[in-house]
Amino acid sequence: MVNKKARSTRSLFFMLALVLITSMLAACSGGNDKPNNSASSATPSNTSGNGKEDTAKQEVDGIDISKPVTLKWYMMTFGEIPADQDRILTAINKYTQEKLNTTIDMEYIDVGSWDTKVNAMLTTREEFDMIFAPSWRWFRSNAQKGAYYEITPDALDKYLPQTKALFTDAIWDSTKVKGKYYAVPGNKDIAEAWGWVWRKDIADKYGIDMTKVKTFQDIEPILAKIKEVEPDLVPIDENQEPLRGRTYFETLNAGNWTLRTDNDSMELVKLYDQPEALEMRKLWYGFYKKGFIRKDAATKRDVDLINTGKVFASWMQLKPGKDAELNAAAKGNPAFPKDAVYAQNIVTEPYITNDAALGSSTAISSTSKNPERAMMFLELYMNDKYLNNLINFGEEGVDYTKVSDNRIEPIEGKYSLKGMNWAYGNQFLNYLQPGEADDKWEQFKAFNSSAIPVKSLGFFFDEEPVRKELNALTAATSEFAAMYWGLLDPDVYLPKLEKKEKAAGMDKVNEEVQRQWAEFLASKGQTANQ
Amino acid sequence: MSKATGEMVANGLIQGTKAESKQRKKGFFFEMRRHGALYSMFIPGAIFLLIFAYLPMVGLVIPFKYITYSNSFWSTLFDSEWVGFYNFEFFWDSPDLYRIMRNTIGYNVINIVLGLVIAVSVAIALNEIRNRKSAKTYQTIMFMPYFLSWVIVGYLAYAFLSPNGFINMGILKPFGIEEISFYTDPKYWPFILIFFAHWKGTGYGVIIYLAAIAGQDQSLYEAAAIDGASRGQQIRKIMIPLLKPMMIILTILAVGGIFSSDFGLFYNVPLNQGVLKETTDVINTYVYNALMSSGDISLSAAVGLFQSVLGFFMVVGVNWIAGKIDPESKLF
Amino acid sequence: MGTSISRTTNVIVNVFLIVLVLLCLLPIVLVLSVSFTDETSLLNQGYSFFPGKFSIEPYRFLMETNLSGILNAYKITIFNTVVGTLLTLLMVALYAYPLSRRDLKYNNFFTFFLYFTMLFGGGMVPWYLVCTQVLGLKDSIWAMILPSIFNGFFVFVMRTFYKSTIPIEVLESAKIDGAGEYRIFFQLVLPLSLPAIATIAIFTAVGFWNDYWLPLMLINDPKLSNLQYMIYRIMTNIQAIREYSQDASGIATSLANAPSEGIRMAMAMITMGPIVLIYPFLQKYFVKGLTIGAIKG
Repeated sequence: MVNKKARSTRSLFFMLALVLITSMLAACSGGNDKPNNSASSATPSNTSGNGKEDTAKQEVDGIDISKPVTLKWYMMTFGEIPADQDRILTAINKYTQEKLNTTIDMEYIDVGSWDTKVNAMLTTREEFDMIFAPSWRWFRSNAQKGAYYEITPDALDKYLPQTKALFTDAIWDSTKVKGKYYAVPGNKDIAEAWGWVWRKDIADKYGIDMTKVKTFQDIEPILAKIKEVEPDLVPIDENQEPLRGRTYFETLNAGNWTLRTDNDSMELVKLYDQPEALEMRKLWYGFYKKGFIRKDAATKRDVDLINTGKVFASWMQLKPGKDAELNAAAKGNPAFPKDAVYAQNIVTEPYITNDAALGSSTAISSTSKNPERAMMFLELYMNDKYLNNLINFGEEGVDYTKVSDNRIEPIEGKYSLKGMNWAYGNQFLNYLQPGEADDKWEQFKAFNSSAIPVKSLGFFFDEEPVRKELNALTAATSEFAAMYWGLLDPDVYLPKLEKKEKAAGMDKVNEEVQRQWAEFLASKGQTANQ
Repeated sequence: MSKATGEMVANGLIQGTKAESKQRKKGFFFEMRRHGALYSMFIPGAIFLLIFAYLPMVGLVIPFKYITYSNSFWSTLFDSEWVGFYNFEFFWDSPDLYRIMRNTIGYNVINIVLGLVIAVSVAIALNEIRNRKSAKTYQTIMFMPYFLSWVIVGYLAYAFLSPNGFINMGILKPFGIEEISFYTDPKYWPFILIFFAHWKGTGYGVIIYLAAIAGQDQSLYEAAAIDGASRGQQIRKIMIPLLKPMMIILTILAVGGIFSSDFGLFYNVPLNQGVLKETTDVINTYVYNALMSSGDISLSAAVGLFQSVLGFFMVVGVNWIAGKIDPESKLF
Repeated sequence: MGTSISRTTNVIVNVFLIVLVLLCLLPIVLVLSVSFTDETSLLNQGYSFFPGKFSIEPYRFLMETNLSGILNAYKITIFNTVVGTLLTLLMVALYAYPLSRRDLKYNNFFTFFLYFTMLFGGGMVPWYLVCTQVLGLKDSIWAMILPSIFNGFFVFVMRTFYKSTIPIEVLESAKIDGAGEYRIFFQLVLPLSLPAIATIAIFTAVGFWNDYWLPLMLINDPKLSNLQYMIYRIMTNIQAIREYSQDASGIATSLANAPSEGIRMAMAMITMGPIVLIYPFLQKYFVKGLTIGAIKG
């Protein structure tokens, strides 16, 4: 009855049973051995040498650091993790061990996986110490829900005094959520300004002076000319933010409300009731119809026009030296034409928004077991020139050579956070890279200090009371996203959008915005009509 | 009755008389003693389910809460504010509710029916062709699309459907037909989406039916051939009826998901173009877009629960119907 | 022979199948073609079945910059697939067998116990909690295997197969011979179910090979990344950077380093590679007449 095949099948399956049992055992023991979720274990993972523990600092500025600590830090990456990251981490830990009796367990999470992973981590209250928490990745709503550790004003003075001095009080205030501090801001180009970036080589060829372009009406004839003489070049990049830049309006992030910037009034007005807004949308749609914006803009957003040199002009957020950055980045792209060069002109006045200082901020988790030590590390991170450049550029002689006191030349193929320096703490501490102006940091400082605060600085629309309506609105109006890119006819679609919005509960949102705004004004001792 | 027969009755292998079946109803311990070994086979799977499926079911409260973070996950769950059906309302009160329900259910019904017909037909075709090498090759190739992610399929679709794509440039233009702007016209998309759903998924279903056919008793066919039946008759009268249990169970299982959709297909292939939403927006994409504004997990949890509950009722209904056709094939 | 189709029907059926095959093949050929196209030509001319300018640059780029990463991902993927498939087969075949036995009184309970979990779930977050905090699976290779080793769908397919294919007489005679249930299972039922086992093996193997979800949720260490997760990361990073760059202007420059379309397609081909051959490999178990052989023997 029992044939050969059955016998071998039988032994195969007994073997499988064995595999099953051993694998379960392996998994369980593997899971217990690894300190997966221990954010702050008692033993440092990277002690630099023997005997170092005896000479480790016991206190700094009167704060006791006798207990060695490991801090788990989650940082964002936008592509692959730089080569040799392990070696740099070891060097970092050697330094932090020496200075603060602390080691850092640094982990990277990809930007594309960020929301999924971080949401799960936060909701399951995973233990970790620090995390990259910028405003554009749910910083405020997470803070409101209790994900982060509150940095009290006293703690700020005690553990982060130098960092505190890096920013003005107004800026610290803008980072508050419901009156509390939850993040250590990132120090870089904090002010926001918008302007044009264009292909200088093409402009020179045809004698076009882009610095004279101040409005979108101004650029229209130029785009027409480019389309005529350079048919392979897209005249202008499709853009979601032609209304940004505070030329007429402030971005409020509260329904469709906005503030006009050409008067002192604090009265909220509806964006599309304003003639300039409507005109802008029509103008932009006109660009699309006339072929200045590429025909397949709606579907082809994945192909990057700037880095491949396929566009003439683009309206974008600028800072001093952005064009140099763009050039440096694009040079690495094989499709970028050899003689192509970008130039920029900032058109708007620089201004400071609520999110200005939260572009690269770091927060401490409320599940951290060592928030004080985390703060001390952040203080070092934000103010120590050696540590900052170690993280950004690696080890001298190995990853870069020093050309002068503050300038370096990176070594090809070695560790470098090129292009991502803005995300790491205090960019002002960075050495200068090839192609950057000598006075880059002075320019940044001037840029930042010349900025005026927006009228609505300090106002956050608390979405919680109307979150149902907002969710419905987002889903219902996503259909019209293309209109914001200038790809749909506003005359046709704006009425449709308004109808949809009303059906999704826009009225309730409007009421709530007005109510919160009135409260905000009252708290500042102002009324809608100055 | 003989001892052997008696045993067989007790084992349920053959029906005994009423008196004998009364003896079987002795209850739990009797059953355990009789079939302990068999019940023990459930253990590994049951443990898995308890850990990975039942334990997480504490999360079933999430749709009804507004999640704020406390010290531990448990306190987060319990301390968070109870909001009843609030999280469902953005969905129920949505002006697009009719559209997304219609699209979701519509596509699913069509795909279930079409999927059944295509998979069975192709499986039979593959089984019948004489050259086994060809069959093997065809089968392998038909399975290939299954490996491409929907993101890539989205790019491929674009290559065919874009204004400069193969269809416009390669087929319509040479024949002087006016170009079709696929990505701005909703009316073509039901066909496009259904096409891709089956293009990617048919290989999968075919394998199941091929296995089922392979397991059929060949002597039945030989007997029928001797009786003078043509192959076509053999297929219609033997093969397909024998495939009924498999067809029924797969349909019942598919029906459970009638309120869900393959997110990857509906999000990536239309390249998230808003103007196409009339025919491409389904429940899953709708919720995904809503999440863009808040990152609130309770929302997707709420809609997911809604989809599951409705799907459950559908399955109970279809299972009952299936019982009328072929009691052996009922799910439960 | 009376159990084959006629010659003419054979031709018609072949044609029908060839049409289907071409439909499936063309897009794959397109991916292949794009993966061998020079980047500038791709930008200017878009996708084409014949590369505008042939180039092995995408593959060369991947091999040079990331060979160790890709080989490592292959290793991980193969391990996950093999171990995962074996474990799943065991778990599924075992649970499905008692379900198929009509004489089991509490059958329905166990059916429902399983099916309920296929419809209702607590959601991603509590599952994540169980995996990471209860089982400690984060950043472990078992994290990509264990949460997937049991699948209700396969159980029901297997159950149906057992029910319709295993003749009662076989079980009867085994019982008469005094065989225990496990012995019957391993020595009789399984060999008779080889087509079903092969089927489920194919699906499970493909499932493990293609899985990016488990690594996405549970794996952070890039050395543990499998092939599909690698390509998922590349794709979603590019999408995310595009989306967020309006709000976080610093990000846009990172796009400059992003893999071009040709490279992404090359990645897709590499990921697809070996697993496509699994059907031919397991196909021999689909041979008809297996059942008859076993009974007669």
